[in-house]
Amino acid sequence: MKEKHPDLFGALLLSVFVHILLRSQTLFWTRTGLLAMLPGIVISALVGLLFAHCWPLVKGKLSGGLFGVLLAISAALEIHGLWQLYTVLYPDSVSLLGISLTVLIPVLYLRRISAVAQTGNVVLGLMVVAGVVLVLSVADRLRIDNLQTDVVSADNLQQALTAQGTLYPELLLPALWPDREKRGSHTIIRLAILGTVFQTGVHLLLELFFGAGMPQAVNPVHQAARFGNLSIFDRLEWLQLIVWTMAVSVKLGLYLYAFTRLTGGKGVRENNLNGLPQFVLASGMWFILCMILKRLDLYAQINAWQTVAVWLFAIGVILAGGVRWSVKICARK
Amino acid sequence: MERQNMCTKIKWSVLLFLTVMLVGCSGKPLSDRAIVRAIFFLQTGEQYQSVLLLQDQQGNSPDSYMTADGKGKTAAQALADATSGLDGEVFYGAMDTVTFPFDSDWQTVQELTQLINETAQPSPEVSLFLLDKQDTNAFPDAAGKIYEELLQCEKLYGLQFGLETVSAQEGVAILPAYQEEEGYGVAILGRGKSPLFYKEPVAAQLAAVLCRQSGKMKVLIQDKTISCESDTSVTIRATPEEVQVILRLTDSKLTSLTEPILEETLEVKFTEDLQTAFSKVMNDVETAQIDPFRLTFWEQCLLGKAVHLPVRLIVEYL
Repeated sequence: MKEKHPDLFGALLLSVFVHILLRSQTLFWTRTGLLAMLPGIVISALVGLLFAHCWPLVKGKLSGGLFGVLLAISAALEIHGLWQLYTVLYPDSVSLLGISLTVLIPVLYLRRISAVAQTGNVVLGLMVVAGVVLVLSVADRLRIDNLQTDVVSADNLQQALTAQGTLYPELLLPALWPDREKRGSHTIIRLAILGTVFQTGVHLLLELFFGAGMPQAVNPVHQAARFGNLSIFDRLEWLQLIVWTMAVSVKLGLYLYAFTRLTGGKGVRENNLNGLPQFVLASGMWFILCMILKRLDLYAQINAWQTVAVWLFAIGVILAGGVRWSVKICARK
Repeated sequence: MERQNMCTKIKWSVLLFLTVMLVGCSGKPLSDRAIVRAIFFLQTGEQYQSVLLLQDQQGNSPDSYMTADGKGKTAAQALADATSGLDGEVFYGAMDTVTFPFDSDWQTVQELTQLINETAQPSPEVSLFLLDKQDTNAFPDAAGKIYEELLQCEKLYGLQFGLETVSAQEGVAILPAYQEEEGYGVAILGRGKSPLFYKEPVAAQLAAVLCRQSGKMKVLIQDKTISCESDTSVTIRATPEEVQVILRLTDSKLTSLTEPILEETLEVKFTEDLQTAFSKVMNDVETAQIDPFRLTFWEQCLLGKAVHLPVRLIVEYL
């Protein structure tokens, strides 16, 4: 039963957490983030649900191609972001090729959907443990009076709402699964809630640590982890890095499955849908995109525009789906 | 079937292992690196001097050091000058101390902190000090000894003044100030304000404890006739009439170094000195209109708004 309908919720949630930890850590003050939390959840969940309902009405070559391009860019941004993190923290230690191989080779094993589900759950558990270790290790440096009080303004609220309403590509992926309900109940709603709560939690931790200096911190989660020590262990930031690297591999495994669903797989059984050709094609595409991002130094710009692109795509599909549905209703009448 | 699965898993594991080995991290051996333990920024007039304290990898003991220094019109130039002449790649991963010029103001401290954040990678955890004026020509020879003294000071008083504390509060920074003859003091720096220095041990240590960058006090009071050591914790309470700063002294060791004195008398004397120091510090920060101890935050949280009530110190011995 588990192999036939593996629950991919753990892998999806892990992918959302990776996005938050690697790319969006200090976007708002906690107070404004809390105020924008509920509207953010409602907006992102609503759009995700509407997309899932409209996608079967509009899926085709063009929409599938656009979705594939979005996912490819997202995958490339994650690999490139991880490499940039390593480069900033440990200059000249690892090349882009090295990081790419490190995260892509495990995707060979993750071609099986049940492997993505199982590994995703395990790595998610590891991430939770690593998070608890991080909080415990820096607990004596977290100061309640570092929280900023005079931050509720129109600009800050707008910034928080934009961040909390982020439409992660993972919120759109369940639309591709063959039996949506069998991939976990209320997947999109749970993803939206947990993703937003996690993002607020990360911002709270960072504000307790950095105080007013939070917006200027570079790689703040990693920077905070540097200060952690438990018993005889110190500089525990390496634990975070290891877990994040594993999590990126799981995310790429998930994206490979989505890519195969968009392009058609070779396997007869759902669990073995991802064939070797799909893996090679997807990996090659992601690596080439990474090289382009590095060569043209476009990471920052593409990263900034990716969220907008996802929103535009989702709204486009919803509108097109809405039009098709209306036409169907009128035709029946 | 199971055997086949196992063989497949072993094959993939071997392939993965070989691939990871071939990927090759281009790390450098230690002997090719210049390992920085501390950076000292000094200022003479308009010129900066940067002295790097390097681990002597050829030395016989862990406290064998070398130095490299550079000069420039800005701290960044001085640092670049110091690193330019080094053999091997500069490695900051083992750095744990950075000192700034003694008379740095808030703005200078922010700029120097940003310089360290940008240039010192892998990002280390460092302790910051303001260091007293030094003979810049003789300093490189004395750098190792001063570094050891700073480490000792940090351990003795349980100091936690790091890069992140400099910008944790908007417009205010508190740093330990070290003078070779007089030891540990504290500087309170406000944006656009003159620095407030506290060399008197009770005032200095009380300021560090109140801003929660230290959890210990170790002082000699009453003309060095009474020794006081204690772990400390601070709680803030607010009533409609006043803000109460509650200083809890746990595991206190109060000892008379001359004639025998009752414990209760020693506590009274220590409390008097604490109250005097507290009054002085609060008077100075109120005159300068800065809030290094975040009393405004507690007023807003506990009373709903910042009303700048009178502040009273309550000392409790546990």
